[in-house]
Amino acid sequence: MLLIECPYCGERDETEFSYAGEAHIARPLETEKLNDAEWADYLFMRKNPKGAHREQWLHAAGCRRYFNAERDTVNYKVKSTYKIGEQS
Amino acid sequence: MPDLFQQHSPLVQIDFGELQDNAPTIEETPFLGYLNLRGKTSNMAFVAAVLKVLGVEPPTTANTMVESGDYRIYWLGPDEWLVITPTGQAGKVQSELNAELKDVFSSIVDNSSGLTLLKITGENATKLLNRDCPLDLHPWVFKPGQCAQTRFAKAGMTIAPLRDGSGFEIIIRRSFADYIGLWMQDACVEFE
Amino acid sequence: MSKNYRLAEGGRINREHTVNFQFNGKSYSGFAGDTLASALLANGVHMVGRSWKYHRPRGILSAGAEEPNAIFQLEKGKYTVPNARGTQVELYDNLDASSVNCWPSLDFDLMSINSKFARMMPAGFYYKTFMWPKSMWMKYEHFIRKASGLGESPRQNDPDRYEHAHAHCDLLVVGGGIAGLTAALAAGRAGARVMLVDEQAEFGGLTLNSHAQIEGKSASQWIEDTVAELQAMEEVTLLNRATAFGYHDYNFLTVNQRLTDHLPLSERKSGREKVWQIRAHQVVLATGAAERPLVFANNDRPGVMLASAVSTYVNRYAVKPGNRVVIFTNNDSAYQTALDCKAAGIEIAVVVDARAQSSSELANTVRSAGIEVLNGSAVVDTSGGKHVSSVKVMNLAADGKSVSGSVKNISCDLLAVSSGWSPVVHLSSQSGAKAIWNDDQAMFLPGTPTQAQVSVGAANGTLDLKNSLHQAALAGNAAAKACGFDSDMAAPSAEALASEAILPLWQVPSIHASGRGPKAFVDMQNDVGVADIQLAAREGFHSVEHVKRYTAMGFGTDQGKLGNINGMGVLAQTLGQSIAETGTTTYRPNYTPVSFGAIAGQNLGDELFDPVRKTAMHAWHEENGAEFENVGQWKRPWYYPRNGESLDEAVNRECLATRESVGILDASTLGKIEVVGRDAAKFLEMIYTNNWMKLEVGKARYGFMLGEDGMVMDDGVTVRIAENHFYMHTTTGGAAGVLAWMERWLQTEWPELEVFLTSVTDHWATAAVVGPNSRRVVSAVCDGIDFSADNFKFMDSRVGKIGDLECRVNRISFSGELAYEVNVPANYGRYMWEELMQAGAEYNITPYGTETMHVLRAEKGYVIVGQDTDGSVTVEDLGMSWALSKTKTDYIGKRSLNRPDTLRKDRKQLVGLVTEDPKTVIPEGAQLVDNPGAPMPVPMAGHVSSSYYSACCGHSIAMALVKGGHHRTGETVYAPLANDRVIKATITDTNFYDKEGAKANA
Ligand SMILES: [Zn+2]
Repeated sequence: MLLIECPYCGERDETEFSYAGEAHIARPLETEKLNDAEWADYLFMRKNPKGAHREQWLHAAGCRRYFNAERDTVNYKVKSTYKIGEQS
Repeated sequence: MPDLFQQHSPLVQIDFGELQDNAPTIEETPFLGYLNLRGKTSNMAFVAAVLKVLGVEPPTTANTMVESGDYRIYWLGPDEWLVITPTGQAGKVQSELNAELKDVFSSIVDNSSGLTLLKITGENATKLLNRDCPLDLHPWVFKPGQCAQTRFAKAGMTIAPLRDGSGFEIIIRRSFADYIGLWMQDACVEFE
Repeated sequence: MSKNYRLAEGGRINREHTVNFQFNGKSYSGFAGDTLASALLANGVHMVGRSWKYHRPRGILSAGAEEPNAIFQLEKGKYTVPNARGTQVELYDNLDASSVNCWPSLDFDLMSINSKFARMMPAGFYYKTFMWPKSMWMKYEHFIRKASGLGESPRQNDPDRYEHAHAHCDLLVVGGGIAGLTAALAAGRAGARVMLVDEQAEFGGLTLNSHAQIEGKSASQWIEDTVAELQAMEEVTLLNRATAFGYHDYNFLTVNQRLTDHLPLSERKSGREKVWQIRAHQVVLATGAAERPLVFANNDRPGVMLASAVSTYVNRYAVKPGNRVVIFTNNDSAYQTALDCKAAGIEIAVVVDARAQSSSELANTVRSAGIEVLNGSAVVDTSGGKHVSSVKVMNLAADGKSVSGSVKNISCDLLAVSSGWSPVVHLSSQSGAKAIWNDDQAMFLPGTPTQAQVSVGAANGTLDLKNSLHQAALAGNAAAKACGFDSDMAAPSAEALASEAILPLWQVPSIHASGRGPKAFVDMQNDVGVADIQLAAREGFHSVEHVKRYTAMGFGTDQGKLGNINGMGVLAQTLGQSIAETGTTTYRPNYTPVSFGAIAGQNLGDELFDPVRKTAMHAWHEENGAEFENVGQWKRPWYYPRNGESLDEAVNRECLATRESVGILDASTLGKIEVVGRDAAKFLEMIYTNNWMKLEVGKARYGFMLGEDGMVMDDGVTVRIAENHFYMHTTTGGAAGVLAWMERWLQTEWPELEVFLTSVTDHWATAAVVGPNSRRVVSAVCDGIDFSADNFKFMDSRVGKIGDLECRVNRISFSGELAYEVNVPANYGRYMWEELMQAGAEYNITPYGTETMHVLRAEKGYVIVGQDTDGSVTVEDLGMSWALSKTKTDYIGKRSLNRPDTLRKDRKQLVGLVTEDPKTVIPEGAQLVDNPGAPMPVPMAGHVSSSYYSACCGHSIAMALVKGGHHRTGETVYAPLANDRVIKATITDTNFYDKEGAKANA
């Protein structure tokens, strides 16, 4: 059971959070100009790294804020968490 | 003001009066006013308006609450607070805040019927809550003046230690109140 | 042979309290403080079960958690417990225990014929034999299960309560032996929050057996004093009968505390077990070490026992496990057993030591006590039927690789064995520290910690008292310091005891050719022998993980605690490599089995398994006889049967009453979200598929939300309350998800938008008043609103009053009827409801539930997201493309509507179905085909998503998703059912009632 540091509330039990997928995927600005392959890349393609992975998490049972986390998919250690819009 | 006697608590089907001898005391304080306040503290106009109406600035330290007269303000998030007012006063406070914040990016939403408050006191209060709350409630860690949104069993709650150290108050959602009440009653079997 | 093996004095038992119990239907007695195992031994009972494959007689081998043989079925009926380790079961009055895996009885076991064919059942036997031919597997499996079953799982509901608890501490110490107690004491004295958990009833661990001195007093006195001191500390929590069974990430440990298992059934109250979920800043693992047995021919015969277990039974339980003992060892510790046996009056035939020499102080003490020691020797075989009666001893080469010389037969009724010790590294390994093999000590030691934990004492391979205490004090001090406490407690003093090196001996060399001769067992519970491991290696299984799976070594309820290291040694030897190269299997939770009840805790049953959410009118619905339906977590009235009506009868009545006069529905469960801010409309433009900028204040609009993949995600009506203030409805089930989804866009993608979202689902109670007379009812209750058709139109929203109570009335319809939704703060929900019921009485206002709601909306072809859609359906597929803005350049999901797959012409599209027989209702979920007689596989044309009998239409109605369905109106499809019936239906549009929509606009 992870202990995750919400950048707002501090360390909390994993059960207060929900996972929200890969971080740093910006929604394209002019979606109508993308061809099918470009749109599919945004829509479907996700990294699945062994090791460091940047993810979004939601402090669902806490402050309801989304934030970013750098988590190691091998040993589950959350190396850092940081607010949306910030870099770790 | 509507007839307050026409109200029904969400715990209308739960009786906390007949708990086990060593169980903590569980008491509902029903029908308080709850306002969900949103705004940016980087905006001085927002802070000033809140100060003017509530007599205190919204707390910016995470997981803290402040008291001001009859009002209590819980930090819920970096731009979100819960304002607790005495029974029947939420509408008045909401109007005053709305008037002051007319041109300021903010939101004041009445959630008075959406929440209720339980006081859990007595020797085994922490034990009962930690039956399924993952938060460390030890007085070294969680002191009066602090608050936290967390979970109890499979429902959310906002919790704060009582000033006198006798236990905690928890604020729970109306639709989950009955479930939490039944869960607590069941958990109290331990305290025979 | 005397049947009373109880020593006249000593032991930590209460001789004043006789405890009667039953084993396999026979009555015995023991004392309070006994375990089931010690009590059986006191009665001369060694053989307690049979092995699962060969059904060989098996006896009590250990005195702890590692026990592979002495597992029992406790009690019968609803209290029955399978596979309880008798070495850990505290004896209680009227305990009823029986052997597992013996059929029809322990003494006469039909399945033991298996042992005669042992050579025919090697490793992988089941895989090789029974997997072919495939058609026979079911029959084989039936036979194998009956033959190999361990205990029987309970067939009745468990009457016991189970509990969970969360706890936090500065230091968690696992293991209450002298090392654990010392670490806890150091941190406790420093003032830290300490938890100490131990699996036994009494703290003290193995040292409870010891005659050693700590701080100048007897070890047991020191333990008693230390426990008392710890108990007096306010911030220290001691949990006994509590097994730490899992070490998870971030110093999160799970501990199962057994609260009532030691009590007679009649005295068990409250919770049976409590699972503690402990988050610790620092962890000290003082889990001790388990002695290993030696591996030789017929080493599984009852009467063969771990040397340390013999000491435990003698010293702690005052039981003689035998009258004449042979001790067989490869290390020093078993010499203590010789002394313990001698003190207890057990005759010692001989100490057989695999080592060529033994001259430690302890060994010399044994010799000077007149006990014969045979160095450079090994026990190569045992004799006896269901109990050992003699052993064969031969000379062992110095390297342990061969035996020679004449065979000495030595008679005995007890063989105490020791192959050295294995630190209990399970939790350390689970925490992420990979165990490291140490050649000198011949044991796996805890690896480098990856979390804030440290192992001390025997768990760290430190087998002597003085060093254990020293390590433990250091660890306790360090843990306290790491948490900000000043701590420098000196280690309790004890005398050092030098010992000589162990001679690793993973298997006594066989005097027979490989694979011949009697079996030498490595894993007693799973009947895995040396030959099986050798065979696996020969067949190419070299990885220890593969050998484990091929031979089933370590797969029993004991998880190979006793046998695995020996097995790895045998494998390493077979492969001609070191144990370090061979590696160990992965240690996974749970350390010992945990009952399902403990894992479930209180979260059971209709009320507590998952939250049951209730509306403000719930009690009214109950009082008025509603049947309830689960919708997400909500309990919603399903229908209100009167006078014993069936569901169909009640729904027909409710539908007709609503369409003819007026009905009332509790609609409080819909998700409600306030959307506030200067950019609220702009935000909704992105979130919904249609246009919102120009919606007038006081008006409502229906909208679809799509996932970014273009598929329908949610829908609902949103009201513009003020220029910058919208009141959004979501589906009941989608509320939380939609809010989180919208927050995600706002917080991560468009932080520049000035919009705040607040859930008010719980704040508002909503009553939908539906039907031609709804205007009359609502206008009688709500003041301050002009309800005239011209001034309060369809999709208008107004604020009024019920008495002094403010209410919001929205004219929306999910039924095609004239309808109003009245909203008040939920504390007044019941009041509002009763006012409406009272005002509606003269129109026979009829409360209806979700079933009637479904029929009414289906009659109008209104979809339910999640029923008529499944995440693969577009707005176009629903035939509702009018809801897609033609002017917006972007909204969530828009781009996906032009993906080739979304543009396919043969997508499943929503149509109506009318059955040939008007009374026949097609089952929801039924598959549709064009030609039921087509050869299999019959091509699927679609499936039915909603289907009801419509009393208002006088025939059944259905909605279905049919390939290319929008262009197939009038065509016939068939629903073949599982019972070979085929229902014929015609494709129609989805609007079955009041096609012009006159009623809703009345
Ligand atoms: Zn947070």
